[in-house]
Amino acid sequence: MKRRDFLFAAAVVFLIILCFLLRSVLYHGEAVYLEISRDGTMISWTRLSELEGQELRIASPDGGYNLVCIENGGVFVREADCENGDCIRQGTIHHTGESIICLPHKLTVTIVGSADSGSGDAQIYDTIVR
Amino acid sequence: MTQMSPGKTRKLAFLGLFVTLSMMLSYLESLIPVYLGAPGIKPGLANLFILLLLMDKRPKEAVTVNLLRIVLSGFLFGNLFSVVYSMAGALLSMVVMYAMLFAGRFHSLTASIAGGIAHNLAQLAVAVLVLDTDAMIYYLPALVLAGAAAGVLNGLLAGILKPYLRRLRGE
Ligand SMILES: [Zn+2]
Repeated sequence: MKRRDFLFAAAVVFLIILCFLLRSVLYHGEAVYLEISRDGTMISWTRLSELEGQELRIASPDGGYNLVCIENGGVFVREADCENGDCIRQGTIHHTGESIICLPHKLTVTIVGSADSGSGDAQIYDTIVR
Repeated sequence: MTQMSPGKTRKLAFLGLFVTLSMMLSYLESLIPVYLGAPGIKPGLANLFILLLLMDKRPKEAVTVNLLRIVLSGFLFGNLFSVVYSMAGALLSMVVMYAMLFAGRFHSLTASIAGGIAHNLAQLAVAVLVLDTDAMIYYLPALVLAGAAAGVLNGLLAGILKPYLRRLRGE
């Protein structure tokens, strides 16, 4: 181990701390909204409180689906017919900035904080069947 | 049929063993239910074998083992997405480790840490491109941390295993 190795290690530690600090600045505030997007396009933006206790069946263009559940302020995928089921195994998300991703269906379900008013209290589009 | 020289046979057996062992690590990884922000993103423990081959100054063998591992693992217990992910992570990590070791003259442990971080960042980049969303950026700090941790683990293990590698090669 040489001087450059220790310098590099110090830089890595600094970078990691900086990343976490930046994240806490970027994603702050209470979990308020649930944003659902497919292929980069938002298909739903709704207050989490309005969705509490609900199950959203999100149809995907290929005929598949993801069953997104909202329970006790947490969000998880209960059922899906994607090939790997990774979205189910991602478990429950609670905090601002966290998301569940279903790669085969190109779906992202993200919790958005109070600081990001985005498109306001929007509606649920017809791609979602309750 | 051409007769293979004992040296060549030994080398083939050695590479076969490395591919098999790295595939086993990939498989173990796929069983660990840890999610680093996006499905398919794994800590890259199979990098251990790549690091070992690079430390032994055998970049061609490293490339061969890497490609065989990814393609075979993809067929056996993955899918197209996992192949794309592994490929991006493994290739960038290999290039970074090679540059750190030989151009930067860094210690293998340092190279391994850089490789681990590169592995996860490449996979994050693929996920962002595939999904066309920046939602996963939230997981960047955790991914960098996990990559560095996997790098430390791989680097330490490679240091321990290196003497046995020469014996295995029959040198
Ligand atoms: Zn899924």
